[in-house]
Amino acid sequence: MPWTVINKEDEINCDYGHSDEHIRKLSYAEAIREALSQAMALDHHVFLMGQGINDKVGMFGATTDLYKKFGEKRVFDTPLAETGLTGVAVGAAISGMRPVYCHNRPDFLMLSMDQIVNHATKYNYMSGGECPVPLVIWAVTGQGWGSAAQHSQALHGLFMHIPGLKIVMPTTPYDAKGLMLQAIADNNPILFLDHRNVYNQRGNVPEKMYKIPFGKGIIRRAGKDITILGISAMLIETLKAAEELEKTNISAEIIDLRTIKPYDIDIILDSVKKTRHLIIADTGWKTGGVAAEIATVVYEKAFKDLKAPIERIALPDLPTPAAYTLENAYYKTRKDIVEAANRLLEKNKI
Amino acid sequence: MDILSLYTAMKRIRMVEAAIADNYNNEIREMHTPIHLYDGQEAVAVGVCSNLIKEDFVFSNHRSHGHYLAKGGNLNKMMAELHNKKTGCCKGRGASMHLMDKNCGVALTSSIVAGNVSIGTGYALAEQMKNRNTVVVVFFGDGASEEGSVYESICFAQLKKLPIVFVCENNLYSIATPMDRREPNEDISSKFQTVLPIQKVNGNDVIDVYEASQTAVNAARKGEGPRLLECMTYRLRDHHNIGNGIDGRFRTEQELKNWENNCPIKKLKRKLILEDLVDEKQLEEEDKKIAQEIEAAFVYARESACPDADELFNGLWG
Repeated sequence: MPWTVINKEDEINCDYGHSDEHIRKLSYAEAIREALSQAMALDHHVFLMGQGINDKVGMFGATTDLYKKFGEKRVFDTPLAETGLTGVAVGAAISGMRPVYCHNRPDFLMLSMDQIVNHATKYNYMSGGECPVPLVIWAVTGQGWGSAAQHSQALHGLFMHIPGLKIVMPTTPYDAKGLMLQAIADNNPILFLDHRNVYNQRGNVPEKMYKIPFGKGIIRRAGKDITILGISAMLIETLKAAEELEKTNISAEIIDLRTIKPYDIDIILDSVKKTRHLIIADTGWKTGGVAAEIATVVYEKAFKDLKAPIERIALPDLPTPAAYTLENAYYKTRKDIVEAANRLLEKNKI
Repeated sequence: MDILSLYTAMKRIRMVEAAIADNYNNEIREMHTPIHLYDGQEAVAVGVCSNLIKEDFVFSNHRSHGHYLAKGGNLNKMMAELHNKKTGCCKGRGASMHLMDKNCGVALTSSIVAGNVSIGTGYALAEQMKNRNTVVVVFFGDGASEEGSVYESICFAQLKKLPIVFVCENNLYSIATPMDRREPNEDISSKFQTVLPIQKVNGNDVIDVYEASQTAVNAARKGEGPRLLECMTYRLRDHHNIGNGIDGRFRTEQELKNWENNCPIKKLKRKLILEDLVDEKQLEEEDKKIAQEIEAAFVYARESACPDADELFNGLWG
């Protein structure tokens, strides 16, 4: 069942042309696990909590057996009481601990909204800067296998609206480790949202501890005709789309923002200045979403650089359906990105 | 137990609230903040906090003045906060509903009731992990007890045997709605009796509260886990602002009069005089000292500067 377990045969290499044979390869889950393990070994304030975290398949293998290494006081299962337990994590953070609270699916974060929106993100400001909340809330967005409407929501757009929250969305194992270590070291509430589809990846991950700064995007593939922003698992689709576009002599520049709050507006503007076309491919819904926000800022800052309107590849305003025929119609793929690119560049010719 | 200091602590809270009420609607409207006054419930904050040491932490709610003062929060900083000044305990970001004084163990209070219950539970978890000997007290009302997260937090606290005392201040009304319109079981603590040790206390008798909370605090400090105290009390003012709520909205004048007569301060004063523990003159001297302290706090607040507009973005990030 390709749903809670990551199969070896599903893994894809994800070093995107930066492959180095001498660097050790890890799966995405192994990279996260190493980050958690190193953070806990370094700082006794770090602890992990979450439903099923000590389960053998806990968090897709990213937390497996960590309790054996660090004890059940620092790695513990939680009851299904997300409202209360998010408050517990906030309270522990206020006391100076660095909790990481894991959820298999961000859909369950809807039960934590009071603590995230009314408390965790407000305390430092309301106290005049006296009460930081160093908390990581980590959840894995689902997709496919009939996950349906309540196990597949990409809710980062909803959270992006909340001041005081940083939102991290890694795609590669390298970034997952570096961003998790940065998230744990940060003194603020962090939403670490990754995606079930990025767990299939395997790539370069150095053994040493390293942190990736928030708000620093990366060019995954250089190009000159069109800029394509891929958010979370949509990055994988944009890279596949770029390969197809190359066959018709369209050179796409692919940007991975890695964090969407804060996000690296400069890397987008620099690229758009060069390519003069932009597609934003997001895992979330279209209306009021992350793609809408980024597009608006690009219009505000670089309207004159654009030769054509920005295209948003995002989900229709619908709950996720279960049947695979409907799922296929609902989710966006490389095909939608290729079509959008052709549409944009075609428009431009006329 | 020093009965006179329990009396003085309650009287001080009552006099602070009276001074706030006297000035709240004055011509210059200098306190821009919704206020929820603590009149009538002083025995709970004072009785419980008199068992705590400085390092212990209390988590409070929108009706926070009494908890803040009873735990030793700085009066000048509280008054400055109510006056929206940068010298306030939250530098003018919190006002009446979000008082804190970390040095005295008053955590930032929450006006989304019950939010503080789970946060206090987490604080207790952290203190336990750090092997400290701290006790956490969470104050919440009968209204907050209806939130699911209170049940979640209390169960978790018992699961982990956390050093925490849950103090429910049952003042019979959730804003203006009486219990019988909200709950099938009006006996709040009984809902939790299968989870942890509970005790129902006369919340208008400071000695009762003191003794019950002493047992609970000692148990928590010894690692015996959490307890719940339900303190039966009564709010003498309206939910919000300075009125008394007898405009027919939710209670009668007679009901209020009965409770005024049962006020914890009056009750203890009668006892002190009757048992010859103190003479009236001594109490008057205490009142004078408190009045001077309050006067000075108002001067401090009024003379302090407001935050500058260019500080708007400060403090969003830790």
